[in-house]
Amino acid sequence: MRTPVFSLLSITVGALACVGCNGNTSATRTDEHAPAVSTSSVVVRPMVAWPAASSADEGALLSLSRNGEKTDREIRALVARSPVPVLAPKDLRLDTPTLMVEGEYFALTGRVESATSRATVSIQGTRAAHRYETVDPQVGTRDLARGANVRGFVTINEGIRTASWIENGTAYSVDVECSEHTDLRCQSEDFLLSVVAQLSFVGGSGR
Amino acid sequence: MSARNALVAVAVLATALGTTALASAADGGAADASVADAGAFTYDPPGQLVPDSGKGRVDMNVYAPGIRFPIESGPAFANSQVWGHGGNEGTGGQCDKENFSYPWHDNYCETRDWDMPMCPGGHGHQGQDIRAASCKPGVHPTVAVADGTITSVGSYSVYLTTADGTRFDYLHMQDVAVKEGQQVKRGDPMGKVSNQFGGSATTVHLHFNIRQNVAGVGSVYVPGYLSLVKSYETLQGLDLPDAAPPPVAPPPAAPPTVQAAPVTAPPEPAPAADDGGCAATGSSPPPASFGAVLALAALGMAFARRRNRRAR
Repeated sequence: MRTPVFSLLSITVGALACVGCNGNTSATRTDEHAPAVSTSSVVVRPMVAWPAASSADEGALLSLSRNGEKTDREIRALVARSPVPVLAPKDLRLDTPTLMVEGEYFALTGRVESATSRATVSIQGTRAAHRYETVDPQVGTRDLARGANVRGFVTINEGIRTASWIENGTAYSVDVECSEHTDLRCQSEDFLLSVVAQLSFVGGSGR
Repeated sequence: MSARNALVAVAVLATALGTTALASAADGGAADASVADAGAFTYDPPGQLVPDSGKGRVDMNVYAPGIRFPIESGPAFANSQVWGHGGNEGTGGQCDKENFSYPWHDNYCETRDWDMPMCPGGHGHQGQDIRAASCKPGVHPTVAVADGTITSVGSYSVYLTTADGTRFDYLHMQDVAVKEGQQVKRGDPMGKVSNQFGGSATTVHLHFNIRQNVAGVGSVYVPGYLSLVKSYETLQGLDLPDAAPPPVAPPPAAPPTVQAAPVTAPPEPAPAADDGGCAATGSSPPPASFGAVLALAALGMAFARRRNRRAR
Protein backbone atom coordinates (compact mmCIF):
# COMPACT_ATOMS: atom_id res chain seq x y z
CA MET A 1 0.00 0.00 0.00
CA ARG A 2 1.30 3.41 -0.91
CA THR A 3 1.86 6.02 1.70
CA PRO A 4 -0.45 9.03 1.97
CA VAL A 5 2.38 11.29 0.83
CA PHE A 6 2.94 9.25 -2.29
CA SER A 7 -0.77 9.23 -2.85
CA LEU A 8 -0.91 12.98 -2.57
CA LEU A 9 1.88 13.37 -5.08
CA SER A 10 0.25 11.00 -7.47
CA ILE A 11 -2.99 12.90 -7.15
CA THR A 12 -1.23 16.11 -7.96
CA VAL A 13 0.46 14.62 -10.97
CA GLY A 14 -2.89 13.35 -12.08
CA ALA A 15 -4.40 16.73 -11.61
CA LEU A 16 -1.70 18.50 -13.57
CA ALA A 17 -1.99 16.00 -16.33
CA CYS A 18 -5.72 16.06 -16.61
CA VAL A 19 -6.86 19.63 -16.07
CA GLY A 20 -8.86 20.46 -19.12
CA CYS A 21 -9.97 16.91 -19.64
CA ASN A 22 -13.41 15.45 -19.53
CA GLY A 23 -14.15 11.93 -18.56
CA ASN A 24 -13.83 9.78 -15.51
CA THR A 25 -10.22 10.33 -14.67
CA SER A 26 -9.83 9.23 -11.09
CA ALA A 27 -7.78 12.09 -9.71
CA THR A 28 -10.11 12.25 -6.71
CA ARG A 29 -9.66 8.64 -5.78
CA THR A 30 -8.14 9.07 -2.41
CA ASP A 31 -10.45 6.39 -1.11
CA GLU A 32 -7.83 3.69 -1.16
CA HIS A 33 -6.08 5.58 1.60
CA ALA A 34 -9.10 7.04 3.33
CA PRO A 35 -11.25 5.21 5.82
CA ALA A 36 -14.25 3.69 4.13
CA VAL A 37 -17.42 5.68 4.60
CA SER A 38 -20.39 3.48 5.29
CA THR A 39 -23.80 4.74 4.35
CA SER A 40 -25.73 1.64 5.11
CA SER A 41 -26.88 -0.17 8.18
CA VAL A 42 -28.89 -3.30 8.56
CA VAL A 43 -32.30 -2.52 9.97
CA VAL A 44 -33.64 -5.27 12.16
CA ARG A 45 -36.95 -5.63 13.89
CA PRO A 46 -36.57 -7.51 17.12
CA MET A 47 -39.45 -9.69 18.22
CA VAL A 48 -41.75 -7.65 20.40
CA ALA A 49 -42.87 -9.41 23.54
CA TRP A 50 -46.34 -8.09 24.19
CA PRO A 51 -47.57 -7.76 27.73
CA ALA A 52 -50.84 -9.46 28.53
CA ALA A 53 -53.87 -7.47 27.40
CA SER A 54 -55.26 -7.71 30.88
CA SER A 55 -52.30 -5.76 32.18
CA ALA A 56 -53.19 -2.65 30.18
CA ASP A 57 -53.62 0.34 32.45
CA GLU A 58 -57.01 1.86 31.69
CA GLY A 59 -56.42 4.83 33.94
CA ALA A 60 -53.22 5.83 32.20
CA LEU A 61 -54.91 5.43 28.83
CA LEU A 62 -57.92 7.50 29.80
CA SER A 63 -55.76 10.32 31.08
CA LEU A 64 -54.46 10.87 27.56
CA SER A 65 -57.89 11.83 26.28
CA ARG A 66 -59.00 13.54 29.46
CA ASN A 67 -56.18 16.05 29.29
CA GLY A 68 -55.64 16.27 25.56
CA GLU A 69 -57.39 17.32 22.39
CA LYS A 70 -58.19 13.84 21.07
CA THR A 71 -61.21 11.85 22.15
CA ASP A 72 -60.90 8.55 23.98
CA ARG A 73 -61.92 6.76 20.81
CA GLU A 74 -59.24 8.51 18.78
CA ILE A 75 -56.62 7.73 21.38
CA ARG A 76 -57.58 4.07 21.48
CA ALA A 77 -57.50 3.87 17.70
CA LEU A 78 -54.02 5.36 17.67
CA VAL A 79 -52.77 3.05 20.40
CA ALA A 80 -54.17 0.07 18.54
CA ARG A 81 -51.97 0.93 15.57
CA SER A 82 -48.74 1.08 17.52
CA PRO A 83 -46.13 -1.46 16.40
CA VAL A 84 -44.75 -1.53 19.94
CA PRO A 85 -46.30 -1.55 23.40
CA VAL A 86 -47.36 1.99 24.25
CA LEU A 87 -46.28 3.22 27.67
CA ALA A 88 -47.86 6.16 29.47
CA PRO A 89 -47.46 7.63 32.96
CA LYS A 90 -49.61 5.97 35.58
CA ASP A 91 -49.83 8.74 38.13
CA LEU A 92 -48.41 11.79 36.45
CA ARG A 93 -50.88 14.09 34.73
CA LEU A 94 -49.55 15.26 31.37
CA ASP A 95 -51.14 18.48 30.15
CA THR A 96 -51.99 18.74 26.46
CA PRO A 97 -50.57 15.32 25.65
CA THR A 98 -49.93 14.49 22.00
CA LEU A 99 -49.85 10.82 21.05
CA MET A 100 -48.33 9.97 17.70
CA VAL A 101 -48.00 6.59 16.01
CA GLU A 102 -46.08 6.37 12.78
CA GLY A 103 -44.12 3.68 11.00
CA GLU A 104 -41.97 1.93 13.56
CA TYR A 105 -42.65 4.02 16.65
CA PHE A 106 -45.03 5.76 18.99
CA ALA A 107 -44.31 9.07 20.67
CA LEU A 108 -46.15 10.69 23.53
CA THR A 109 -45.32 14.24 24.58
CA GLY A 110 -46.97 16.29 27.29
CA ARG A 111 -46.24 18.99 29.79
CA VAL A 112 -46.16 19.19 33.56
CA GLU A 113 -46.66 22.73 34.80
CA SER A 114 -45.41 24.22 38.02
CA ALA A 115 -45.75 27.73 39.38
CA THR A 116 -42.59 28.96 37.73
CA SER A 117 -41.67 26.49 35.03
CA ARG A 118 -42.92 23.93 32.57
CA ALA A 119 -41.42 20.51 32.10
CA THR A 120 -41.90 18.87 28.72
CA VAL A 121 -41.96 15.09 28.95
CA SER A 122 -41.35 13.13 25.76
CA ILE A 123 -41.74 9.37 25.65
CA GLN A 124 -40.87 7.27 22.63
CA GLY A 125 -40.83 3.59 21.78
CA THR A 126 -39.26 2.27 18.60
CA ARG A 127 -39.07 -1.17 17.08
CA ALA A 128 -36.70 -0.83 14.12
CA ALA A 129 -33.07 -1.08 15.19
CA HIS A 130 -30.06 -0.17 13.09
CA ARG A 131 -27.19 -2.62 13.25
CA TYR A 132 -23.70 -1.35 12.54
CA GLU A 133 -20.68 -3.58 12.34
CA THR A 134 -18.62 -1.06 14.25
CA VAL A 135 -21.00 -0.65 17.16
CA ASP A 136 -20.92 -3.38 19.76
CA PRO A 137 -23.90 -4.16 21.97
CA GLN A 138 -23.76 -2.50 25.35
CA VAL A 139 -25.57 -3.28 28.54
CA GLY A 140 -27.12 -0.28 30.21
CA THR A 141 -25.33 1.10 33.22
CA ARG A 142 -28.41 1.84 35.30
CA ASP A 143 -31.22 0.00 36.97
CA LEU A 144 -34.33 1.90 35.93
CA ALA A 145 -36.80 -0.01 38.09
CA ARG A 146 -38.43 -1.52 35.02
CA GLY A 147 -37.84 -5.12 35.90
CA ALA A 148 -35.03 -7.43 36.86
CA ASN A 149 -33.55 -7.74 33.38
CA VAL A 150 -33.97 -4.17 32.25
CA ARG A 151 -31.03 -1.83 32.42
CA GLY A 152 -30.56 1.44 30.65
CA PHE A 153 -28.70 4.70 30.29
CA VAL A 154 -29.37 8.03 31.95
CA THR A 155 -27.88 11.18 30.55
CA ILE A 156 -28.36 14.89 30.14
CA ASN A 157 -28.14 16.78 26.88
CA GLU A 158 -28.07 20.58 26.95
CA GLY A 159 -30.09 20.50 30.14
CA ILE A 160 -32.51 17.88 28.81
CA ARG A 161 -32.47 14.73 30.93
CA THR A 162 -32.89 11.45 29.11
CA ALA A 163 -33.29 7.82 30.04
CA SER A 164 -33.24 5.01 27.49
CA TRP A 165 -33.63 1.29 27.76
CA ILE A 166 -34.76 -1.82 25.89
CA GLU A 167 -37.83 -3.60 27.17
CA ASN A 168 -39.88 -6.32 25.49
CA GLY A 169 -37.81 -5.94 22.33
CA THR A 170 -38.58 -2.23 22.09
CA ALA A 171 -36.19 0.70 22.52
CA TYR A 172 -37.78 3.25 24.81
CA SER A 173 -36.67 6.68 25.87
CA VAL A 174 -37.95 9.48 28.07
CA ASP A 175 -36.79 13.09 27.86
CA VAL A 176 -37.50 15.82 30.40
CA GLU A 177 -36.86 19.42 29.42
CA CYS A 178 -37.55 22.40 31.67
CA SER A 179 -38.41 25.90 30.58
CA GLU A 180 -36.24 27.18 33.43
CA HIS A 181 -32.91 25.65 34.36
CA THR A 182 -33.68 26.34 38.00
CA ASP A 183 -36.59 23.90 37.84
CA LEU A 184 -35.81 21.15 40.33
CA ARG A 185 -37.22 18.57 37.91
CA CYS A 186 -34.22 19.22 35.71
CA GLN A 187 -31.72 19.96 38.46
CA SER A 188 -31.49 16.28 39.27
CA GLU A 189 -32.49 13.04 37.61
CA ASP A 190 -35.04 12.17 40.29
CA PHE A 191 -38.06 13.40 38.38
CA LEU A 192 -36.94 11.65 35.19
CA LEU A 193 -36.44 8.37 37.00
CA SER A 194 -39.81 8.64 38.69
CA VAL A 195 -41.48 9.08 35.30
CA VAL A 196 -39.64 6.08 33.88
CA ALA A 197 -40.54 3.89 36.84
CA GLN A 198 -44.25 4.65 36.63
CA LEU A 199 -44.75 4.09 32.91
CA SER A 200 -47.50 1.59 32.34
CA PHE A 201 -48.47 -0.47 29.35
CA VAL A 202 -51.65 0.90 27.80
CA GLY A 203 -51.91 -1.09 24.57
CA GLY A 204 -50.67 -1.57 21.05
CA SER A 205 -51.28 -3.46 17.84
CA GLY A 206 -50.19 -6.72 19.37
CA ARG A 207 -53.02 -6.53 21.91
CA MET B 1 -17.78 18.11 -15.89
CA SER B 2 -14.75 19.88 -16.98
CA ALA B 3 -11.66 19.48 -14.84
CA ARG B 4 -13.70 18.52 -11.80
CA ASN B 5 -11.51 15.72 -10.61
CA ALA B 6 -8.39 17.71 -11.06
CA LEU B 7 -9.83 20.54 -9.04
CA VAL B 8 -10.50 18.21 -6.17
CA ALA B 9 -7.01 16.83 -6.24
CA VAL B 10 -5.49 20.25 -6.28
CA ALA B 11 -7.74 21.34 -3.45
CA VAL B 12 -6.61 18.42 -1.33
CA LEU B 13 -3.01 19.29 -1.94
CA ALA B 14 -3.61 22.94 -1.28
CA THR B 15 -5.09 22.10 2.06
CA ALA B 16 -2.19 19.86 2.89
CA LEU B 17 0.23 22.65 2.18
CA GLY B 18 -1.72 24.99 4.37
CA THR B 19 -2.37 27.39 1.56
CA THR B 20 -5.25 29.79 1.71
CA ALA B 21 -5.13 30.63 -1.94
CA LEU B 22 -8.29 28.76 -2.73
CA ALA B 23 -10.15 30.11 0.24
CA SER B 24 -9.41 33.68 -0.62
CA ALA B 25 -10.14 33.32 -4.29
CA ALA B 26 -13.32 31.33 -4.24
CA ASP B 27 -16.76 32.80 -3.88
CA GLY B 28 -17.86 31.81 -0.39
CA GLY B 29 -21.52 32.33 -1.08
CA ALA B 30 -21.98 34.21 2.17
CA ALA B 31 -25.60 34.63 3.12
CA ASP B 32 -24.95 37.52 5.42
CA ALA B 33 -22.89 40.64 5.19
CA SER B 34 -21.03 39.82 8.39
CA VAL B 35 -19.44 36.89 6.65
CA ALA B 36 -17.23 38.36 4.01
CA ASP B 37 -16.10 35.17 2.37
CA ALA B 38 -16.22 31.72 3.85
CA GLY B 39 -13.97 30.29 1.18
CA ALA B 40 -13.84 26.71 0.07
CA PHE B 41 -15.45 24.07 2.25
CA THR B 42 -13.06 21.94 4.23
CA TYR B 43 -13.66 19.72 7.22
CA ASP B 44 -11.63 17.92 9.79
CA PRO B 45 -12.03 14.14 9.88
CA PRO B 46 -14.68 12.62 12.11
CA GLY B 47 -13.45 12.18 15.65
CA GLN B 48 -10.86 14.92 15.43
CA LEU B 49 -11.97 17.44 18.00
CA VAL B 50 -10.68 20.90 18.79
CA PRO B 51 -7.41 20.43 20.73
CA ASP B 52 -7.89 19.81 24.44
CA SER B 53 -11.65 19.41 24.07
CA GLY B 54 -11.73 15.69 24.65
CA LYS B 55 -11.53 12.49 22.67
CA GLY B 56 -13.79 12.08 19.70
CA ARG B 57 -15.23 9.00 18.12
CA VAL B 58 -13.58 8.03 14.88
CA ASP B 59 -16.56 6.63 13.09
CA MET B 60 -17.05 6.49 9.35
CA ASN B 61 -20.69 5.47 9.48
CA VAL B 62 -23.12 7.91 7.95
CA TYR B 63 -25.93 7.31 10.41
CA ALA B 64 -28.49 9.37 8.54
CA PRO B 65 -27.63 9.13 4.86
CA GLY B 66 -29.49 11.38 2.50
CA ILE B 67 -30.69 13.96 5.00
CA ARG B 68 -31.11 17.55 3.98
CA PHE B 69 -28.80 20.00 5.74
CA PRO B 70 -30.76 21.47 8.68
CA ILE B 71 -30.00 25.11 7.93
CA GLU B 72 -31.72 26.48 4.88
CA SER B 73 -28.70 27.97 3.17
CA GLY B 74 -24.97 28.17 3.48
CA PRO B 75 -22.44 28.97 4.43
CA ALA B 76 -22.72 27.23 7.76
CA PHE B 77 -20.06 26.12 10.16
CA ALA B 78 -19.98 23.00 12.26
CA ASN B 79 -17.67 23.62 15.16
CA SER B 80 -17.55 23.78 18.92
CA GLN B 81 -19.77 26.19 20.79
CA VAL B 82 -17.96 25.74 24.10
CA TRP B 83 -14.40 25.60 22.76
CA GLY B 84 -15.03 28.14 20.02
CA HIS B 85 -14.71 31.88 20.30
CA GLY B 86 -17.15 33.25 22.82
CA GLY B 87 -17.64 29.86 24.47
CA ASN B 88 -16.89 29.00 28.07
CA GLU B 89 -13.58 27.40 27.11
CA GLY B 90 -12.78 29.73 24.25
CA THR B 91 -11.46 33.21 23.81
CA GLY B 92 -12.90 36.30 22.16
CA GLY B 93 -16.51 36.70 21.21
CA GLN B 94 -19.04 34.50 19.50
CA CYS B 95 -19.16 36.75 16.44
CA ASP B 96 -15.43 36.42 15.78
CA LYS B 97 -14.66 35.38 12.25
CA GLU B 98 -12.94 32.21 13.45
CA ASN B 99 -16.37 30.81 14.28
CA PHE B 100 -17.52 31.46 10.75
CA SER B 101 -14.76 29.87 8.78
CA TYR B 102 -13.75 26.45 7.59
CA PRO B 103 -12.66 23.81 8.34
CA TRP B 104 -15.55 22.21 10.14
CA HIS B 105 -14.79 20.55 13.46
CA ASP B 106 -16.52 17.48 14.82
CA ASN B 107 -17.68 18.00 18.39
CA TYR B 108 -19.56 14.77 19.06
CA CYS B 109 -18.14 13.35 22.31
CA GLU B 110 -16.50 16.64 23.23
CA THR B 111 -15.78 16.70 26.94
CA ARG B 112 -18.89 16.55 29.11
CA ASP B 113 -19.84 14.63 32.21
CA TRP B 114 -22.88 13.23 30.47
CA ASP B 115 -23.23 9.50 29.92
CA MET B 116 -22.81 8.65 26.28
CA PRO B 117 -22.53 4.95 25.46
CA MET B 118 -20.95 5.55 22.07
CA CYS B 119 -18.23 7.93 23.22
CA PRO B 120 -14.75 6.79 24.16
CA GLY B 121 -14.82 6.66 27.94
CA GLY B 122 -18.60 6.65 28.01
CA HIS B 123 -19.09 10.40 28.38
CA GLY B 124 -19.37 13.34 26.04
CA HIS B 125 -21.34 15.76 23.93
CA GLN B 126 -24.32 14.23 22.17
CA GLY B 127 -24.61 16.26 19.04
CA GLN B 128 -23.03 18.72 16.68
CA ASP B 129 -22.97 22.48 17.09
CA ILE B 130 -23.59 24.36 13.87
CA ARG B 131 -23.34 28.08 13.32
CA ALA B 132 -25.23 29.70 10.48
CA ALA B 133 -23.74 32.35 8.24
CA SER B 134 -23.73 34.97 10.95
CA CYS B 135 -24.09 35.32 14.72
CA LYS B 136 -27.41 37.11 14.44
CA PRO B 137 -30.29 35.35 16.20
CA GLY B 138 -33.58 34.88 14.43
CA VAL B 139 -32.21 35.42 10.95
CA HIS B 140 -31.22 32.05 9.54
CA PRO B 141 -34.03 29.56 8.90
CA THR B 142 -33.75 25.91 9.81
CA VAL B 143 -35.51 23.25 7.79
CA ALA B 144 -36.63 19.65 8.14
CA VAL B 145 -33.85 17.25 7.30
CA ALA B 146 -36.32 14.59 6.19
CA ASP B 147 -39.99 13.77 5.92
CA GLY B 148 -41.38 13.00 9.33
CA THR B 149 -43.46 14.03 12.31
CA ILE B 150 -42.80 16.71 14.88
CA THR B 151 -42.92 14.58 18.00
CA SER B 152 -42.05 17.23 20.58
CA VAL B 153 -41.84 20.97 20.89
CA GLY B 154 -40.20 21.94 24.16
CA SER B 155 -38.99 25.24 25.52
CA TYR B 156 -35.87 25.20 23.40
CA SER B 157 -36.01 21.95 21.48
CA VAL B 158 -37.92 20.52 18.55
CA TYR B 159 -37.83 16.80 17.75
CA LEU B 160 -38.46 15.53 14.25
CA THR B 161 -38.94 11.78 13.99
CA THR B 162 -38.88 9.81 10.76
CA ALA B 163 -40.88 6.66 10.10
CA ASP B 164 -38.08 4.36 11.18
CA GLY B 165 -37.93 6.03 14.58
CA THR B 166 -34.76 8.02 13.96
CA ARG B 167 -35.10 11.33 15.75
CA PHE B 168 -33.49 14.62 14.79
CA ASP B 169 -33.24 17.21 17.54
CA TYR B 170 -33.08 20.94 16.85
CA LEU B 171 -32.07 22.99 19.88
CA HIS B 172 -31.92 26.70 20.70
CA MET B 173 -34.22 27.91 17.94
CA GLN B 174 -36.58 30.87 18.02
CA ASP B 175 -39.65 31.52 15.88
CA VAL B 176 -40.47 27.82 15.89
CA ALA B 177 -42.64 27.18 12.86
CA VAL B 178 -44.00 23.72 13.68
CA LYS B 179 -46.24 22.13 16.26
CA GLU B 180 -46.45 18.72 17.84
CA GLY B 181 -48.03 16.10 15.67
CA GLN B 182 -47.41 18.04 12.49
CA GLN B 183 -46.21 16.13 9.46
CA VAL B 184 -43.38 17.86 7.71
CA LYS B 185 -41.63 17.35 4.43
CA ARG B 186 -37.92 17.55 3.88
CA GLY B 187 -37.01 21.21 3.53
CA ASP B 188 -40.06 22.56 5.36
CA PRO B 189 -39.32 25.46 7.73
CA MET B 190 -38.68 24.51 11.35
CA GLY B 191 -37.62 27.76 13.00
CA LYS B 192 -34.64 30.05 13.11
CA VAL B 193 -31.18 29.61 14.53
CA SER B 194 -30.93 31.38 17.87
CA ASN B 195 -29.69 31.15 21.44
CA GLN B 196 -32.73 29.94 23.42
CA PHE B 197 -31.72 27.86 26.40
CA GLY B 198 -34.28 27.39 29.13
CA GLY B 199 -34.57 30.84 30.62
CA SER B 200 -31.02 31.76 29.76
CA ALA B 201 -29.01 32.21 26.60
CA THR B 202 -26.28 30.27 24.89
CA THR B 203 -24.33 31.40 21.85
CA VAL B 204 -26.25 31.64 18.61
CA HIS B 205 -26.06 28.19 17.07
CA LEU B 206 -28.05 25.12 16.21
CA HIS B 207 -27.33 22.12 18.38
CA PHE B 208 -28.26 19.16 16.21
CA ASN B 209 -28.64 15.61 17.46
CA ILE B 210 -29.40 12.37 15.72
CA ARG B 211 -30.91 9.74 17.97
CA GLN B 212 -31.40 6.29 16.67
CA ASN B 213 -32.25 2.85 17.94
CA VAL B 214 -28.93 1.06 17.59
CA ALA B 215 -29.20 -2.70 17.84
CA GLY B 216 -27.97 -3.99 21.15
CA VAL B 217 -27.65 -0.55 22.67
CA GLY B 218 -31.05 1.10 22.42
CA SER B 219 -32.00 4.67 21.62
CA VAL B 220 -28.76 6.60 21.67
CA TYR B 221 -27.32 9.78 20.25
CA VAL B 222 -25.26 8.68 17.28
CA PRO B 223 -22.50 10.61 15.55
CA GLY B 224 -24.02 13.13 13.18
CA TYR B 225 -20.93 14.79 11.79
CA LEU B 226 -20.49 12.78 8.61
CA SER B 227 -24.21 12.89 7.86
CA LEU B 228 -23.98 16.66 8.11
CA VAL B 229 -20.87 16.79 5.95
CA LYS B 230 -22.62 14.83 3.24
CA SER B 231 -25.76 16.91 3.44
CA TYR B 232 -23.77 20.13 3.36
CA GLU B 233 -21.88 19.01 0.32
CA THR B 234 -25.20 18.42 -1.36
CA LEU B 235 -26.54 21.78 -0.24
CA GLN B 236 -23.50 23.52 -1.62
CA GLY B 237 -23.41 21.46 -4.78
CA LEU B 238 -20.20 19.79 -3.78
CA ASP B 239 -21.21 16.19 -3.43
CA LEU B 240 -19.29 13.44 -5.03
CA PRO B 241 -20.85 10.55 -6.92
CA ASP B 242 -21.99 7.82 -4.60
CA ALA B 243 -19.42 5.45 -5.98
CA ALA B 244 -16.57 7.56 -4.70
CA PRO B 245 -16.25 8.04 -0.94
CA PRO B 246 -15.48 11.64 0.00
CA PRO B 247 -11.81 12.47 0.25
CA VAL B 248 -11.58 12.11 3.98
CA ALA B 249 -8.04 12.14 5.15
CA PRO B 250 -7.13 9.34 7.55
CA PRO B 251 -5.83 10.86 10.77
CA PRO B 252 -3.19 11.38 11.90
CA ALA B 253 -0.77 10.88 9.01
CA ALA B 254 -2.89 12.73 6.51
CA PRO B 255 -3.57 16.45 6.21
CA PRO B 256 -5.73 17.78 9.02
CA THR B 257 -8.50 18.94 6.76
CA VAL B 258 -10.19 17.68 3.68
CA GLN B 259 -11.60 19.54 0.79
CA ALA B 260 -14.93 18.86 -0.80
CA ALA B 261 -15.24 18.36 -4.48
CA PRO B 262 -17.11 21.00 -6.41
CA VAL B 263 -19.68 19.96 -8.95
CA THR B 264 -19.18 22.15 -11.93
CA ALA B 265 -22.09 21.37 -14.18
CA PRO B 266 -24.59 18.72 -15.14
CA PRO B 267 -22.97 15.79 -16.86
CA GLU B 268 -22.08 16.40 -20.46
CA PRO B 269 -22.18 13.78 -23.17
CA ALA B 270 -19.08 11.70 -22.69
CA PRO B 271 -16.44 12.38 -25.28
CA ALA B 272 -14.65 9.56 -26.94
CA ALA B 273 -12.05 8.36 -24.56
CA ASP B 274 -8.50 8.37 -25.62
CA ASP B 275 -5.15 8.88 -24.03
CA GLY B 276 -5.96 6.59 -21.17
CA GLY B 277 -9.35 8.03 -20.38
CA CYS B 278 -8.32 11.65 -20.45
CA ALA B 279 -10.22 13.02 -23.39
CA ALA B 280 -9.03 16.46 -24.34
CA THR B 281 -11.67 18.99 -25.13
CA GLY B 282 -9.43 21.80 -26.08
CA SER B 283 -11.40 24.14 -23.92
CA SER B 284 -8.87 24.42 -21.19
CA PRO B 285 -5.24 23.92 -21.91
CA PRO B 286 -3.12 22.23 -19.28
CA PRO B 287 -1.47 24.73 -17.01
CA ALA B 288 2.22 25.22 -16.87
CA SER B 289 2.52 25.72 -13.15
CA PHE B 290 0.94 24.82 -9.86
CA GLY B 291 -0.08 28.43 -9.37
CA ALA B 292 -2.04 28.30 -12.56
CA VAL B 293 -3.77 25.18 -11.35
CA LEU B 294 -4.71 26.89 -8.12
CA ALA B 295 -6.13 29.84 -9.98
CA LEU B 296 -8.11 27.55 -12.25
CA ALA B 297 -9.38 25.62 -9.26
CA ALA B 298 -10.56 28.75 -7.55
CA LEU B 299 -12.26 30.06 -10.66
CA GLY B 300 -13.87 26.71 -11.28
CA MET B 301 -15.30 26.50 -7.80
CA ALA B 302 -16.56 30.06 -7.90
CA PHE B 303 -18.24 29.37 -11.22
CA ALA B 304 -19.71 26.13 -9.95
CA ARG B 305 -21.11 27.76 -6.84
CA ARG B 306 -22.77 30.52 -8.83
CA ARG B 307 -24.31 27.96 -11.16
CA ASN B 308 -25.47 25.83 -8.28
CA ARG B 309 -27.03 28.76 -6.49
CA ARG B 310 -28.87 29.72 -9.61
CA ALA B 311 -29.98 26.14 -10.01
CA ARG B 312 -31.41 26.06 -6.49
